[in-house]
Amino acid sequence: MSLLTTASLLAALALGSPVGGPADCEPVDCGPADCGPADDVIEVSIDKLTSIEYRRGKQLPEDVAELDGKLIRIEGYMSIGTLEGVETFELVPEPCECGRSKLQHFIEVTLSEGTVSYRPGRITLEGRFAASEVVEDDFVVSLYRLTIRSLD
Amino acid sequence: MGSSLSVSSPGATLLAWAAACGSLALATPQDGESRVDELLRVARTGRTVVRPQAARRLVRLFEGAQPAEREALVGRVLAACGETNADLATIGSALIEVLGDFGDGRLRERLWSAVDDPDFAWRPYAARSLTGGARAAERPRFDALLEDPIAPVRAAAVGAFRVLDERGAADLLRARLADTDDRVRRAAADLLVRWGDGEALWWLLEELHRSDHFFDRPTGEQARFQAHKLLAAHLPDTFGYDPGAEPDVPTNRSALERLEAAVAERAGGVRPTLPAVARAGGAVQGETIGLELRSCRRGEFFLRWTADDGLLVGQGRPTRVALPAGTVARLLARGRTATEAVSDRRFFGQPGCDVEQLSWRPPGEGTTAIWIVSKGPQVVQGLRPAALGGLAAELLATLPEGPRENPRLDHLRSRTRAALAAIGGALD
Repeated sequence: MSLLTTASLLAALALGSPVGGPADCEPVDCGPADCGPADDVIEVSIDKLTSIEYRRGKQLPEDVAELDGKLIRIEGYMSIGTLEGVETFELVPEPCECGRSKLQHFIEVTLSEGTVSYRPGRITLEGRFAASEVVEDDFVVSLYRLTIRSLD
Repeated sequence: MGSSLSVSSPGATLLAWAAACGSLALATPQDGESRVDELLRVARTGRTVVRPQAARRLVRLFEGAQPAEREALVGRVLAACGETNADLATIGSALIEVLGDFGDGRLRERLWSAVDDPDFAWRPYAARSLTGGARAAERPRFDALLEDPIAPVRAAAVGAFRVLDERGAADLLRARLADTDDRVRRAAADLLVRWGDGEALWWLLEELHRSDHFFDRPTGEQARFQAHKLLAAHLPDTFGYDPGAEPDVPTNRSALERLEAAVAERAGGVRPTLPAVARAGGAVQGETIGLELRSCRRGEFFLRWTADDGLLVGQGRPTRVALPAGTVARLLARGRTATEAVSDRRFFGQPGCDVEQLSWRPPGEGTTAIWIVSKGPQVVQGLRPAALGGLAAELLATLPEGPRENPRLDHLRSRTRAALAAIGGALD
């Protein structure tokens, strides 16, 4: 992982994922320590996720698909368009609007506690990751999602 | 809609901005609306992430239509494009990026008119739109785009030569192997390799050695991922190279040795001397002030001032300019006053394609503070706070002026001044 010298955020333990996790763990109570080696936090480069070639309905690369449901730690930037006072924001690889309309170029982050306040600069997040298409009104609205506890 | 937002404000202002931009809307059909109009609406005003999908669906609708229906659909799209480039800009980047896919000469001319207009905000999108259906008669125009001041436009032009399979342009593309932008160098190298020029593989391989940062942003890692993807398409094996790990970890060192052997074989034993701009960059010591400008009309600038009175221009392996002794200490003193004046706000404006970012890391401080000025294609007067404007003027005064052989430094001050003016307004 790269150096981290900005005001970094390490969200607390990850929470449950809609796509599952270890079967014998209740998501809300389940942190890395509870879930054993199989649920260690995996360091993931945001560039790994955003550099894939994505087409709707096409299988994700194996090394990305296997992260689905896992606890991950990832660095990136809050999208410049981040709204305040809501529970979600988009994590992007660069602090600009470049390419944010592509589905594989952002991670939709959901806070289970508190709300978003915009923070410029590189941040580190830890949470439960999901990699699958979410469809609304027949449009895919997200490919990657991360659930974290909070930004505090 | 206000012209500026404070991150310390409640979310109401940002929510108001979002509602005004329609970014919360998805795709709710409206009464009596045709499918074409629905897709046009969503591609223009739907959620950012669905706009390209709606635009692409419009193209698929066209491709599956009968000739009369096709003409009607193109007529509707033409009407949406309006009469002027300013009208065209209002349909947004997602639609502009697919206009070329309708294969219609009138739409292509609208796109060329936009690309030829240096003040058109979506030039990279228009250039990419033209690329897919590039026509042989357009070759001279694409030649010119290879020298465009906007790097994504140059990269799009490289793509046009791929579509045209214009191998007579190989020398023009080889010239782009010394481009100041790594995206353009990679695109040129990739195409040359496709055309059988194995030597160009060395440019892609060199990117795997990069470990550079721009302050906290791992620019080297980003480049490694992109280059690795391209190399993996050209070579049978990348020997376990992991672009997410630093190049000097043992597994990557071993992989790089084997990759060098594979590339040497493909290049017929020839190992060209790469231009300085294309050689791998490493860590930079003493970054203190950074100015990162991304203007959709005036290009991108990546400038850093180091504690030892150095000016670094560019990413990757930057060009270093020695500044007079004491320059950076003076800038730091000026910067302290400026940053204290705006310490309670870090973001000014609204999201858009014009972004100015000030990075601030005085010696001895472990963290980087950041201030962002941003806007869309419309002019916003007085967007940049006076304190940041004063600092920007001081930074600007340290840049080289006038013609220089090095393209990074050529007329750097005037080009940077133009970008600053386009983003946050002219400096006093």
